Amino acid sequence: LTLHSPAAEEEGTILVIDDDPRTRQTIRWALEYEGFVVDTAADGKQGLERAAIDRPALVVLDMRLPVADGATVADGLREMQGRTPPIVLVTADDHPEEKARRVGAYAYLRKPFDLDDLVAAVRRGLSRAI
Amino acid sequence: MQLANDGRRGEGLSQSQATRETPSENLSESAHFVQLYETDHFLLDRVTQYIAVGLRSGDRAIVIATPEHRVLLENRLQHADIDVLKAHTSGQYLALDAAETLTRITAGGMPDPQGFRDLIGGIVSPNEPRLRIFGEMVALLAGEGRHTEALELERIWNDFRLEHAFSLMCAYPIRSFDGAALSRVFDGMSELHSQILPCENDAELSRDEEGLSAISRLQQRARSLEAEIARREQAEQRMRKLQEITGQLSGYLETDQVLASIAQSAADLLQVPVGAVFLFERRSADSDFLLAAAHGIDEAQAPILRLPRHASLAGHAVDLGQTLVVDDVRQTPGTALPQLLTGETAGSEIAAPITAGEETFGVVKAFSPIVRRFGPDDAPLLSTLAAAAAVALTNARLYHKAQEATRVRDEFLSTAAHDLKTPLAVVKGLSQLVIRRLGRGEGQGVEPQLRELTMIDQAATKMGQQIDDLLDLTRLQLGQRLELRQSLVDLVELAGRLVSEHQQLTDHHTIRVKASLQELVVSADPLRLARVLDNLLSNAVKFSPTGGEIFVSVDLQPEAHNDNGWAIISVKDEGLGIPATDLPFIFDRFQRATNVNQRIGGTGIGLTSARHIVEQHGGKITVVSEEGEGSVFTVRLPVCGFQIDGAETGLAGDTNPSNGRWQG
Repeated sequence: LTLHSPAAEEEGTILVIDDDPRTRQTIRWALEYEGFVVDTAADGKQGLERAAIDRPALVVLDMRLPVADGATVADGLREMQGRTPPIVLVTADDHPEEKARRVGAYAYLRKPFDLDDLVAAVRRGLSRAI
Repeated sequence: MQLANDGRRGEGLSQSQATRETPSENLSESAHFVQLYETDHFLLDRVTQYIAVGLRSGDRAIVIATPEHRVLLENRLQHADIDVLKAHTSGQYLALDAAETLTRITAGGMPDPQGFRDLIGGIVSPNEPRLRIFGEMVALLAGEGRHTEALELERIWNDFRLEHAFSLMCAYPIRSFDGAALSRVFDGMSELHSQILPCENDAELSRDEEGLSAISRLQQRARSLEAEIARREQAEQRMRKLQEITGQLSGYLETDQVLASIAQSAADLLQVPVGAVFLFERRSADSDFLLAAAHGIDEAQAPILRLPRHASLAGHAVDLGQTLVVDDVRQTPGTALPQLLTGETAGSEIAAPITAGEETFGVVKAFSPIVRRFGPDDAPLLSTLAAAAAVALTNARLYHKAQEATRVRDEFLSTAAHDLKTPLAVVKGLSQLVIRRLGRGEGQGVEPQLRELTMIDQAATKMGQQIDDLLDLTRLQLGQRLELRQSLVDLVELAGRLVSEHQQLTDHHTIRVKASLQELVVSADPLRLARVLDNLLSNAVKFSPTGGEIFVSVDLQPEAHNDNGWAIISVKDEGLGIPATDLPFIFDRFQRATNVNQRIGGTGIGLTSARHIVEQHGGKITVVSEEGEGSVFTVRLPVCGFQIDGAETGLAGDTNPSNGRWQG
């Protein structure tokens, strides 16, 4: 696989937490195509386990998660890393802005989302984090 | 459970004593009553009390009395801290001379209605409820032995009072009665007054023997009449209270409010310290009663109260369908609520069944620490309250159902939209990814595009299935059967295909499939059957959030005497399991086990849909589950020699004829 962004390794890992396997795969492939390093988790608990290993630079988070929901994951990340990494909320639920505020996400995407928006949100998040 | 305690324990009792001591305070506003008296001292005490209470609460007072009585009365009022002069000048207090007034309203030796109206009508406005009048003109006539005239004047007062709402006190000197005239006069008085108040104790009277016995009889009659009137007034008051309560009850929509209100109403209505509602524990008339709401007991001290279904007052009341009383709970073991009154075990209780149509909700009870507290008037009163309670509880339940249905529908719509948007996001996202790849035109082979297009196809299929599910559900809701498109389906192949699809979607589950045969063919709608299995597999993965093994088995269970048999597919997981209380409802529409609500997405229609599909194939779907251990869902489908009720038969729509071979 050719990496399009030469700075990928320096930018750190992006952790995608979503319980829908196809959504997980879609976001992974799309971000990998743009040159990011991506890890995935299927629920909140697994997400925190992966985060402990990855120390992700950014988290793409689904709100409705089995075991530990999105808000619990956000709290867990904050506890683990001392500060919350930038979170992009991806949700099919109503009132995403409210939920984004609750988990401290700096951006949210409604499903179905445009790839351009996803990539732009991730780039913006990473530039904020640095 | 609703509990209330406003510290009014025992008030019901002291109130009736109070009534006897201070009659004027408790008279209804439109009363016309007579005070019998022997001495001025006694009469003036009573009149002072009557007028003082009115003046203090801002009522107007008119006194038509002898000059001597007026002076004595005003002195006493002054003594009772009432500024008579001020009341006089402000017009709140008006005093007239009895003899002079009597002369002015008398024509031809008899009290004259027209003269009366001209004079009294000039100082009393129509319907002036906050007015108390003490009149002594009747007493003057009676004192002179002119009983006919006295009664005529009483009649005129009564006629006048038809258009006026004031209360009226008049007085009869007991010395005006002699033995012979007693009965007649007394009967006339009884008719004309709403209440007769007895005079001083007989012992204080100084009379000859005949007079004494006459007075004694008079006093006795007055007392019994007084009791009867008090009883009627109380009954009337209770009816008014009951009307007020039933009106209030019908205004409540929340069950808790209704229950609390019933408990309080029972205590208020019967004027006892404790009222309580007990409902059947499991909404079943075979179960015990549990305390649902109580009034008059300390919340902290109230235990969770349970009454046995049988051998209890509540149980008997329900069995007999009527209100029952226990006069002395010490004599009737097993019926009391001794815990309700901490430390007070003696007393009496009453219970009325709360019944609406065929259904009995439970009982409403009232409890008094006093033995034999409940009389004949109490049972019908509590029965009426229980009837109103049943209506209110039914309404509250309907309201709750309507609310719940609305909530479920809204939630369903929102979940259905959510679930459709999820695969749509995949279709959209991956399509755009493929476009990006093609647009950039870099030579990296077709593999990425192939896997992405394949997943787009899967997601689109998933959406199609979800839409079919919704359409099927709509049909079932409308009472329509599904149109099965039947063909021959190899269950072994179907299970293998779906298992591998689901395995691809999960990393932390291992899905194994085991078939006892190489193939097992049934006649079925292949898409719908696939949906059943897809649902069961999705659930197994979804409800094993921490991962684990999932076993799918396909078996044939032959029947002993013919070639037919049952195909059995089971899906076993090691996930959350289903709580025992939810198991009976797990196949109902929109029902989801209580241990997964909110945490895990889903519409709650998958299993309902699965059950309908399986049943229309002549099969059965069952579940065995233990919370925390996992679940096993089993589908049984008839093999060979069955016709699908009302569905297309034959092999016209067969999609896979090469698999066609009957098993049996």
